[in-house]
Amino acid sequence: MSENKTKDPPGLADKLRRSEKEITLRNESADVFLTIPDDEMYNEVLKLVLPATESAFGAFGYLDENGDLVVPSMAGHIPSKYQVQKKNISFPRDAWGDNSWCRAIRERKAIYSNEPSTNMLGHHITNQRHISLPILFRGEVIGLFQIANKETDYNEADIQRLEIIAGFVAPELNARLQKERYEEQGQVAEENIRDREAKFRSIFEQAAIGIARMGVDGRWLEVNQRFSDIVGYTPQELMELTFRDITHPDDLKNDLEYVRRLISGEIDNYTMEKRYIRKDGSEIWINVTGSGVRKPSGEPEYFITTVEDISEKKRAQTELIQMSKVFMDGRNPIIIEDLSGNVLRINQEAERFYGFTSDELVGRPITAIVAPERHEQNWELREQCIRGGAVRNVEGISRDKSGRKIPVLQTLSLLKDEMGNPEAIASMAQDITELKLAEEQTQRVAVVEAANRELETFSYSISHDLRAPLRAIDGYSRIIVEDYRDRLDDEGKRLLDVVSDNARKMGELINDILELSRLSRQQLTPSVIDMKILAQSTFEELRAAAPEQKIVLKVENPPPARGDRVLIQQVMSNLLANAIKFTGNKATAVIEVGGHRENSECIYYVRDNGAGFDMQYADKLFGMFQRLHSEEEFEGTGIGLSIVQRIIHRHGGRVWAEGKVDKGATFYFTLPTER
Amino acid sequence: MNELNKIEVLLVEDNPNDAELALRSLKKHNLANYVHWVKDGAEALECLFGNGADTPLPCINDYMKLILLDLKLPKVNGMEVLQKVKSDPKTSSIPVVVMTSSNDDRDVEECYKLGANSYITKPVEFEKFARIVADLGLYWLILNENPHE
Repeated sequence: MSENKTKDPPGLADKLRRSEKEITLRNESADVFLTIPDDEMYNEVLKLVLPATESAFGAFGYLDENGDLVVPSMAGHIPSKYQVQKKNISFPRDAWGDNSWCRAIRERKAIYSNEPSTNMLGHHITNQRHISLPILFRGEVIGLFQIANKETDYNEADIQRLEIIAGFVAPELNARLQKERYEEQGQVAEENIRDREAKFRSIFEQAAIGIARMGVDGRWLEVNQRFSDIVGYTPQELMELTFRDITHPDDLKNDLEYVRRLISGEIDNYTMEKRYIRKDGSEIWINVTGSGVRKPSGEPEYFITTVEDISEKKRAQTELIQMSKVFMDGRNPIIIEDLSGNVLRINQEAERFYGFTSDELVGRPITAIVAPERHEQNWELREQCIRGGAVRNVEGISRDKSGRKIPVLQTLSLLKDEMGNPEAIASMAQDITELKLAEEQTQRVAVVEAANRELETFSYSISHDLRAPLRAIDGYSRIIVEDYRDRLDDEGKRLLDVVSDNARKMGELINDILELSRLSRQQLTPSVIDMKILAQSTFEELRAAAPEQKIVLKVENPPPARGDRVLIQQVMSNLLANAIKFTGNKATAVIEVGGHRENSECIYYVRDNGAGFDMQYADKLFGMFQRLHSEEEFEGTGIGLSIVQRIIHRHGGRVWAEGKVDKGATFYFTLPTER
Repeated sequence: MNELNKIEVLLVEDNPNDAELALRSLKKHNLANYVHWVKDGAEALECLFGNGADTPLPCINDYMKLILLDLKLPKVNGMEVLQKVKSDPKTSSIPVVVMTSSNDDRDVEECYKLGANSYITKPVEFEKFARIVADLGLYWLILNENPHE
């Protein structure tokens, strides 16, 4: 580092000296670049350049990565008032003018002037003469020298000398600039790594899944907050535990097997659902994924375990299993259909109820199991359900595979997906066939009751309004007979007798009708009746009215009956009276009474060997005023059997008759053994 | 039979034939010297309680022995007449015999509840009818002890 250079004489020696000088310069500049730290380097180079070019002052700058000129150093005899304190002066490229240095950079060649100018870098001082020379490296400008105020004019030789120095400096400068840039990038890279680490750390800590690092011995090395929350232990507590300590005993075997295979290298990772035992002793279902991190030697260094709380999922799964069992085994047929009415699923009861297998019905329109006349209703109900969420207990008509129609109560529920959008419809049916029949029965009963009431009213008015005229007919004909006896001959009296006789008969008819009407509204008071005693006592009463007739009564131990004693006696009385009446022509009348128990009813009969009847009229026997015999033969109003039928029907029993003309008749009636 | 002259019977009957038959029967047995016949319930009430005012008709007197009352009557029915007669202290002790064509259980029950002294179903046969009327007359007009006497 010689600052005091002697001036070289011209000529060969001069040349030699010059080349020595160049070598020295090169070495010195290399030395500067290698040893001097960044900040001072530029100044030191300038200290070599100025004496070498006999310049009073100069500047040395470089182009940064943006192409701006940065001048870290200006040196020489600059009046102090022009000294720039700032270290690095930057000349942004887009602010360059057409000063000589700007041109030198742009034109990549030296520009010099021996005229006074203010073309100095950053200084508005006037210089006498100056050179601006670009520093080129591989054809690219990387820096700039500017020197000024040599004692004498600058010439080509000065430029050459400066170029030579620039030639030395260029690779060194380039290397330094590159290095700085690399270093800068390195710094950025390091910052990036730190940044990423922080990011990973925050991901690790804030992850919604539990993450843990576990040693090959099963000890926890590091856990995140979520992991700690899942198992209920603090990270510090976990450091004292191994995964074996918190794994459910039933799941440990599988887990250990996975770990063994992970260590042996059979697998790189595994996933399983298992249970941890939390610190408070409760179980928690988790989905765990384990993977190994290996040393360069291949043996595992530690494991990474990620843990997800799936207890909610498990609960939902269990619930789903339970619900689908309820669905499948439910006592009512249930069909799940999509919003356009195509069957998605059906339960077992639906298979049984509709007669379709699941395979036959799934994918078909729901109308396959809806009666055709209710297709429109079905569509409307579905729309209503989609709008309102549910439709409850609406009557409809289903049909099964065979086409049989079944009255049902339908309940439709809207099923929604997780987002709350309508997804499907569950429709449940309840068979109401029985209910419908009962309803119809009730309606029929109501009609019958209404008819009965009407009949009562009718009977009542008959009893009042029909009897009075009859009484008048009879009464006045009697008065005639009483008051005008002397003036009537026998035929006149006979005719008036006929009038009276008919009035009396009509009176009897009216009485019978009223009796029948009374039966339909009289309350039943059931008790147990000994039918044998009933038959015998009733017979004795009737027998008294026909003492001359020869009658044999046989009673064959009929079972006791349950019914209204008065009314059943009326039945027995009417049937026995019939039997006595229609055996009147027989030399010996034989009347049999018997019965037996069959299932839930008792069947009784009253048989005679009398006139009998033609079976083709059997259904007319029990009709009101129906007579199969002339009144000449057997008198009667034709209402006795109607009364029998009505009484037995009121008891919930049945009546029928069998017979043959002149071979006798048998009348059967049944009484239920229980209510 | 002089006492019979005092007897008053009120016959309430809308059917003139039935009325005639009843009157004939009573007459035949000399029970009907003082029978008063009215044709509906309103007339019966007027006869017994006057025309809205406190002026009973002459037929209401201490000798009133019997009311023969049909049920099915125009204007005011027999049941209402019965109820009024039996709830008024002036008339409540007069025997009332309901004579009607109906033998409806409910009617019978209702009449006895209202205080009827007898309930007779009119038979269709004149002979029976005549006998019943005669028997009734004998029983209520002669045999029965009336509190007025």
